[in-house]
Amino acid sequence: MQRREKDGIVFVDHDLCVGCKTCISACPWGAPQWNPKLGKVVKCDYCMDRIDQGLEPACVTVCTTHCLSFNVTEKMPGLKRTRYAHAMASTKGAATIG
Amino acid sequence: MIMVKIEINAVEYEAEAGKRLLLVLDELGIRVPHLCFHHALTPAAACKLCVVEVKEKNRPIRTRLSCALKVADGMEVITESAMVHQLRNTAMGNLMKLAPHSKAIHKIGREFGLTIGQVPDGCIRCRLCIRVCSEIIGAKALKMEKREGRNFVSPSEKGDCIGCLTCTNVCPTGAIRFEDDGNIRTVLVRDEIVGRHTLERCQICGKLYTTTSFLEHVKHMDGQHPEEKQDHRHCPTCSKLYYRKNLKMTAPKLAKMYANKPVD
Repeated sequence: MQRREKDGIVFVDHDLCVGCKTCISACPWGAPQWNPKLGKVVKCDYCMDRIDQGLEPACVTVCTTHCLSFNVTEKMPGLKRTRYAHAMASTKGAATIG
Repeated sequence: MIMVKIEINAVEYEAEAGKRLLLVLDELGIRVPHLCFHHALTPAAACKLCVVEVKEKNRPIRTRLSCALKVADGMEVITESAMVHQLRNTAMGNLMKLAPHSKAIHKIGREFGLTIGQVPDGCIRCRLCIRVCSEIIGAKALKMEKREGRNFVSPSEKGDCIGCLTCTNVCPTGAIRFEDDGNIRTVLVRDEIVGRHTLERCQICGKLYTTTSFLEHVKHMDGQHPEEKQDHRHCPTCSKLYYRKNLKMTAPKLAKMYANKPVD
């Protein structure tokens, strides 16, 4: 498990992972998960290779309702506020938004 | 029944003519190794371990398989010689290729002093398990031990297994294994116990997911992050699904249960 300096993405280097599962036990969010087939830990790496090519993560590109978006942290609160405002304005209200 | 005189290892005996030589030797208490012979069946001469040197009348000395050979008058039999030993060793080598794990073959090989080579135990002595346990985990629960001139991975008295199963995970041949029986996990190398551990249940789904000693071990390694992580016993799946802040969506009942406690 390592952190990429240029953008802070935390990912698992499968060449180095021995499968001790310490990271699984330590993570409060359950981000690292066990892959029994590989015998190694897997974790979302934000499709690092796609990002390096200037593309968005695969999940973001296929999200049918466009609820997923990918950007730097500083730009996210603005987007969240806009969505919250939309929700408040809609008939359903903000109750469904965590 | 015609009885004939035969000579076995320079001692004269009387035997029934036409009887299989192996049976005669067996009755006389002269031990000859064999695996494929059965009293009720015709001999197949397959294992080739029962080879002996035989001199028949008017014939030179030859090596014959005693299971198939019928006793005839004036037969001279030698059950142990350099030639016989060499042939039995060859036969043994062929059998070992086919059934290296067979206990019967190893037993017969030891009994008659035949070359059986190393008894395979599935371990290739790569030491990955030993290295990962001391370098990464730090438990030092495994070591290399010399027994009768051979190296064996064995449990170490100095270290303490925590049942994390990293050794079973890195082992390229599956020589280290574990057995979960109820809430007890046993880690074994060959049939020697490396460690026995109690398993912990996930507080949410109730699945047995890791050992108590592993959680204790991680606690010491883990930095303290009280603002982010409260001490919990959740399996990887539940800690992902039922992370407190997500509880309202994923498990409303649990959210109510946790409602009075501070949110992490």
